[in-house]
Amino acid sequence: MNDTVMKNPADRTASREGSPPQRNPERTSVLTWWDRLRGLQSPLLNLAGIAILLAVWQICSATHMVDPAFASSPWKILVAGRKLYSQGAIYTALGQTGKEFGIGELISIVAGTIIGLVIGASRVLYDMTRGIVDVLYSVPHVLFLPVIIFWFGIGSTSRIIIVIWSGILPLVINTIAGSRALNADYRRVSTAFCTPRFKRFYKVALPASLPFILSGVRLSVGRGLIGIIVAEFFMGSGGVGFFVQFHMSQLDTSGAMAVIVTLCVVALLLNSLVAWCEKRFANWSISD
Amino acid sequence: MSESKRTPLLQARNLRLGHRTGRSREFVVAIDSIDLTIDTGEFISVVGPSGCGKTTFLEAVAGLVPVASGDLLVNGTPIKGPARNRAIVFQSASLFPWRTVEQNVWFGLEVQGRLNDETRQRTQQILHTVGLEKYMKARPDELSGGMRQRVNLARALAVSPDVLLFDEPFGALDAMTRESLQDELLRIWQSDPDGPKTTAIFITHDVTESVLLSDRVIVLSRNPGRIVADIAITAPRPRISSQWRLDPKFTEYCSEILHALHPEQKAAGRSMTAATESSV
Ligand SMILES: Nc1ncnc2c1ncn2[C@@H]1O[C@H](COP(=O)(O)OP(=O)(O)O)[C@@H](O)[C@H]1O
Ligand SMILES: [Mg+2]
Repeated sequence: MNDTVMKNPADRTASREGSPPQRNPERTSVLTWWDRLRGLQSPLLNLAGIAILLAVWQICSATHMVDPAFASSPWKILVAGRKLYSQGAIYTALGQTGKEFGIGELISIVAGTIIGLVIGASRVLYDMTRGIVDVLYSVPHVLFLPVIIFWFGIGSTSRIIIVIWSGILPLVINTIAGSRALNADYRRVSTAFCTPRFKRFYKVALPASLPFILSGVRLSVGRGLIGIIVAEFFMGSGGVGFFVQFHMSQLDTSGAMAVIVTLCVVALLLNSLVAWCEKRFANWSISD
Repeated sequence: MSESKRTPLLQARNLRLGHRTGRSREFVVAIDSIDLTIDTGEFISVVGPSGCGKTTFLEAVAGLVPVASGDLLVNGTPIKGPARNRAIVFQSASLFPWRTVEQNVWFGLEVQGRLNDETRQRTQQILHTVGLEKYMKARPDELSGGMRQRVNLARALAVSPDVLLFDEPFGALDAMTRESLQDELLRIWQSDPDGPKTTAIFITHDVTESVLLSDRVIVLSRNPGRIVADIAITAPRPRISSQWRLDPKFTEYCSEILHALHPEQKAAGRSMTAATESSV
């Protein structure tokens, strides 16, 4: 039945005398301005929702319906943000957090994918590790922080390890799921064409599991961010988490909020990056 | 065609095949005690009712299903697993959706470490032969069912196999597409410069298809499969599809095969079978 699924009915004119190649017809078709506007409708409403929330917040603060020292206000956050970014400290904090998070996340993705593919390919390994993985995944990951600090000290290494610890499990779990769901047809094709074991991993299982892996990356990024921020709270030795805590200890809500807004933007960007990767590299899974 | 020099390529002796199924891993027989010799260069069709073990037999030759008992020999040596010189065209196209048409076609070459300028060029040539030169960079999900089967065929041709195995490659297509692909396969087979060196085993449940393409048709009985007829199609090659399909001998072969398939219908009269076969 799959065989009949097609993007465009024009492609149904099967045989060779058929029309010239019509790839990705939706990309070449001309949009009217009305279509464009309709396409923008949902992002516009999205922005409108945020604007309304900010306006209500600003009004409540300005009319002292809530205590501005307590709740701050969008305007005050903006002012605090300008001051923050005119000084160097925030860049150091962002740099430290970014570097440690980046290293940790990279290791999670590479190691998590490999571990997942290996476990997913073997019935025995899968049965052996299923319980362990489930237990580890159900326990809140930041709970292991004190143990990790005890083992690796308070420093960069510990924070990188907590990022890996937080981020690797969703990747392992998703990659296992992806490689176990490997289409029986793909297996038969790779067997029939004498694919060596190693090539089977990276030429068949890896691309076939890519949609699963990328949704694992999405989860992993979220959990990794939680991991590193909590670690910075805990250790109190720099980074974005520590920066927020430091501002709050001086009762500077606006300053803390400005940092939080920065983090929101970063998290959103990371998410969009993964979404872009999904569209770019795993788009076939949507239409198949 | 190779009467003068009979070199048995494939030999099945008292061959028994089956699957282990369910929790109990109980053995279920699919093919029961088959004796068969296939010569190099033959195009041989296997027809039989659905579920009689055609796919099982083909996959055993491909090395995907183990031999339960008896012998299954290629060039005198038992089949132990898949081999590079045997390629299979699957029943469903089974293409990798993340690869382009071209990349799907050279998959076998790539994983066998044989992808180079020369084989790439050969791939292009094959894509021309099957009429996909315009779709080389397309993705499988942009293709129709018939085009996917062309890719499936091209992928098997690309590894230059000695034995080509077909598992009802046109079974799921609409009648018109199927007919044009049959004609093209006939053309490709007959125009292949090293055609006589390649052997084809073609599984089908379409009687006209088997008569059109083959040098020999093997008819299997209902499950478990046994050989009930072995019919040589002696029409000379190259055959021209439009003429051969209308030849009175073509119809004769079809009824002969149909009678072997449905012996119980023999009494029901030849005229009726003749009417049904033309619509098969
Ligand atoms: N993977 C399998 N596991 C268990 N039984 C199977 C499997 N494949 C086929 N069979 C059984 O073997 C018999 C022959 O199947 P098959 O070779 O696919 O027949 P055909 O291709 O002629 O329709 C059927 O009874 C079918 O149910
Ligand atoms: Mg079958």
